[in-house]
Amino acid sequence: MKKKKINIRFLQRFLPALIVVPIVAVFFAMFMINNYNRVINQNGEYVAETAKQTASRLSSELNTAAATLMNVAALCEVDAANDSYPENLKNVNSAIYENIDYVSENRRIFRYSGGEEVAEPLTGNPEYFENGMNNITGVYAELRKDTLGGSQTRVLNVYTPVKSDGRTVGVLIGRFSEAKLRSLIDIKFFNHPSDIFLYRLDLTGENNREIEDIVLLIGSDENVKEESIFANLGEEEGKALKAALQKLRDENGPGLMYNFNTSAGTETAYFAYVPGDHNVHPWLVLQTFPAAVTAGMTKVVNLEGLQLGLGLVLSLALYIFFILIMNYIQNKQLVKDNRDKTYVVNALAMLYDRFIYVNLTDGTYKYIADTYPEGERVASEGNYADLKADIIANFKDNYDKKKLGAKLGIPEIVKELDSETDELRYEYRTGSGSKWEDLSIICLERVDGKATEVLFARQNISALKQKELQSQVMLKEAFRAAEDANRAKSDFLSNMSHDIRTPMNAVLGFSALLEKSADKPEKVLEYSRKINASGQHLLGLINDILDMSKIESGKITLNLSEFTVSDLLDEINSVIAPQAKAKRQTLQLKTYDLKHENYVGDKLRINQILNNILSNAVKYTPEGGNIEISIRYTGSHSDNIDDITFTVSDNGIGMSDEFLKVIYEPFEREDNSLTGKIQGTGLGMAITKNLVDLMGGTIDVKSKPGVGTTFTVNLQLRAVEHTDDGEFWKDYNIKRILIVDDEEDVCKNVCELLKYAKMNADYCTDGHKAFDAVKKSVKDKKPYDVVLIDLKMPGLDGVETARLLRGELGEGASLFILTAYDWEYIEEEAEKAGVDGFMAKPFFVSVFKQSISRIRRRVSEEQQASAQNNVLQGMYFLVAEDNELNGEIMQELLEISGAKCDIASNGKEAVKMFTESPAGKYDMILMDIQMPELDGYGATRAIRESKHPSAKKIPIAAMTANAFADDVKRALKSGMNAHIAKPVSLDVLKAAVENIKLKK
Amino acid sequence: MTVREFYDVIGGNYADTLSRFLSEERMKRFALKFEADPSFSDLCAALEAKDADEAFRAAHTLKGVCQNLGFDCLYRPAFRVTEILRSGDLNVGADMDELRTCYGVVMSAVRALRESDS
Repeated sequence: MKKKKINIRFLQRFLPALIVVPIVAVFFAMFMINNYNRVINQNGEYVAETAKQTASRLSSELNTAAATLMNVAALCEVDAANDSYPENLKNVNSAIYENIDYVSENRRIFRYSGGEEVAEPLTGNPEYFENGMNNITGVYAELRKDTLGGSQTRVLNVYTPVKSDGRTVGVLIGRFSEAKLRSLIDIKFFNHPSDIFLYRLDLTGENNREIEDIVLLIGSDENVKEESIFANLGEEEGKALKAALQKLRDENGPGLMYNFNTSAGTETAYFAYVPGDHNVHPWLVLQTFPAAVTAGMTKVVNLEGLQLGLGLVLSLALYIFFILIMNYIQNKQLVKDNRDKTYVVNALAMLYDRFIYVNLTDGTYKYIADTYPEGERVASEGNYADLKADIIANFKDNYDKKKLGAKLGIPEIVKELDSETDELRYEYRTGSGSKWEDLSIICLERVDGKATEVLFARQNISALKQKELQSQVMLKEAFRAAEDANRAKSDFLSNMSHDIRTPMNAVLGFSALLEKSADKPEKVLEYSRKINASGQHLLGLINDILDMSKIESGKITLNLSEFTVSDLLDEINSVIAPQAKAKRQTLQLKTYDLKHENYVGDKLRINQILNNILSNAVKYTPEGGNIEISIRYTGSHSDNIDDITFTVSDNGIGMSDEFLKVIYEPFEREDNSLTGKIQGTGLGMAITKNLVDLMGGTIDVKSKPGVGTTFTVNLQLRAVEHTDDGEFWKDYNIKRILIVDDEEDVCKNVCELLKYAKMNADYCTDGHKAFDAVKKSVKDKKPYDVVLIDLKMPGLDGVETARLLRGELGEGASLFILTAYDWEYIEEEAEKAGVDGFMAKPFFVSVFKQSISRIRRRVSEEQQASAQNNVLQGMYFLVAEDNELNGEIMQELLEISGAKCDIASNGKEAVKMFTESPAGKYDMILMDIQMPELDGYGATRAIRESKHPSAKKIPIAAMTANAFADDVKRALKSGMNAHIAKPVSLDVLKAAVENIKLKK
Repeated sequence: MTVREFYDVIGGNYADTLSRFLSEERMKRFALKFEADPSFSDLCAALEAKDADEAFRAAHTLKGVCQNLGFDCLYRPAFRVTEILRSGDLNVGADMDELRTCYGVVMSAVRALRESDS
């Protein structure tokens, strides 16, 4: 079926072509015929005009020729007695005639040619002789032997009577020169010569001779023969032509057009009478138009026509092709549109389970779009009332059955679907109750604004509904959580305000007391001390609250950077040691198994964690108690992540199990008789816990009331490997190190740490052994370069040992005291004993290296300073520097080098000070560039141009931070001698001065 | 607070400054004097008055002082502000904010250094 359709469509498409092509063909044929006729007609007109001209010219030529011959005849002297060629005729030389013959009345023809006279008798009774003797001048055609070719051709002769004494005695015959005649009427058409015949027709001839003479004047080629016009015509045609020619002659018409059909095609010909008396000279010119030219012309025109026709057909074909393409594209789009629509329909079908078409007008329904009723409760089409009953029966809730059911009546639907509503939606539970359905009633058609046809689309929305219910539950939960958080916040606020109010009340109360006791100094002192203490407490509380709120609002971020464990311990020690000292507690810092000294972490926050724990330890440990902090390496992960455990333990009052449960809650402080006196914000541990969490670590506490507390903080920190290449030791020329400590573990630990740093060290466990070792080293010429001595040792203590060793080692070696205790009280004594420096326990390689370099540098600086002074010693500088501080720095640096200087605060002042100075006062000018009033370049130019004796000689050095090549060039161009890059150091200044001195 | 700590806190170049000033005592003395240096307030005043020339001069001086004292953290924004002002552009925006913050840090550290002294 489809195939047939296509065929019809195909036919439809090609029908125009089938019709148009024959029409074009017919028109084309007509066009060709018309063209042909037009060409024939055109050529006919052409040939007619030419034939007429030929006839006219021939007539005039013949007339002239006749006149000439008549003149000759008049002059001719004939000797009638003597029958001969007239004597004076022999001298006639005519341009027209080849020769002139004479026919005597005695019927003898005399011809004179080439000086000879020929005479022969006249045979028969030729027309020219009869006419001539009757005094008629005329023309006749004669068969004559061609002088050139030898063949016989007909030529024209003119004849005229010759008179003597008024009597006709003979006839003169002028024979035309052939060339002459031909040249007169030679006509070519498009380079094709045409045939011109001259006929003498005797249409009334008694002997029924139709054609008396035929003269071929011009032949288009050799094959043209002199033959009768009628030779190739049928009898009827011949008769018709003859009649036409008679009519032409009788009516003396201009001529007759006639088409001959020849083998070369149609030859157009034209007959024209030569003007004159047709009875006497019935000469007829026949001129033909060459058939070949006609054929050629029609061919050209037809070719053009053919091209035109082909062009037409081609454009038609193109047009049809274009139509086909358009059709194809449209078709494709249609198919695509159709497919898109199918997609939409399919997608809809997936969304909706059932589509029911309901006609509201006649109350029927029908399941459509390949959907069918569920079960067999209703048919797939029928009365709407049945469908409605089924839908209502399927409702789970009675409420729906009543309320929603009422809405499904046809009048109700029509009413609901008013002009502004195109869709109704209802949701309801069905069947067992877990299934939710959505019924959409969509208006399809309206008549007068009232819905007449609708679509029922039913959709299972159980999943959606479930999600909706779920999110409702979640929302409720979130709301409850927010409420909880809010309550917690208000609790926090009320707690906080309570805690703030307590010290605040103290401040207010004591300041009121202060006012009353202004006259009692001891009271003033006591109250103000208490106000101060409360104020401090308040400040700490506020700081903690700020920290806490930062943590809670997530605003706190970790500031990760590299730090060394020794710095961390040092800082903790500097804060906690004084507190512990005040309570006469012992504070011990220890490290165990630390392989790395450098870690990446937030040092400040780690510090805060440890300080919080430690200050609690100090607070809750009675006077004289022990506090210990240790840092221990407990394992490692990939990527150089180390587990570091910080342990803080004390033998203080401890905490109850109940309190341990809430220790990290804000504002929790254990209340008992012991803690009553102790100040605190109650936020410290909360902050600590939060910070540890923030770092991804863990915190653990173990405590027993009356025994003590141990906090353990585990952090994972990334170690920074500083591959120690041992260069340090080479730089300071340190080959041997000796450790002296009574605790062998400490010695071993230090040696191991040094081993990591590419240094081998020896150790001794008391002063005497150390003395022996040193003595031996000196004896072996391998003396120790550095000796590290523990301060507190049984027997010989650190200072005493140092004194002993210094005696052996001399000044070359460095002696350090390593101690966990304050060394202030023995510092003087130790220095006297030859100790170079102190180091706090625990031992760190980095601290050790710093100490060594500090001591070594101190020594070399002292040496250097004395050597440096020489160059600048005694010089007097003028320094142009607009900034006071920079000026002071410059002045002091110059002074310690033994030089003096004056400071000018701008360029103008510098110029003034220089020009007013006695000659030779300043040795050199140091010129800042960027200055108010007058800049360095201007000031230099002014100085160079001044009349001061040293104006040209005094060295001027530019001081600028912009050490670009351009600036240096500009400085030199303005007359300066040197350029010193800022910030100016003595070394650079010295080098510049030396350079200038060298140039001199 | 030690001088070394001071330079650590403000992000200064302790080593270079020590090599030029030769002693910590001198470094500390000059650092304390920075408190009285008017360049920063000059710069703020000039910016407020929209005086580009004066602002440039003040910024340039501040830059020079910071460089001399090895206050690298302050030197860097001062350098940028100077370069902006050099072209006459008063739109110092974020760099000036950074400069202000750094100045605040340096000043509080200077005060701490002074207090730790007394």
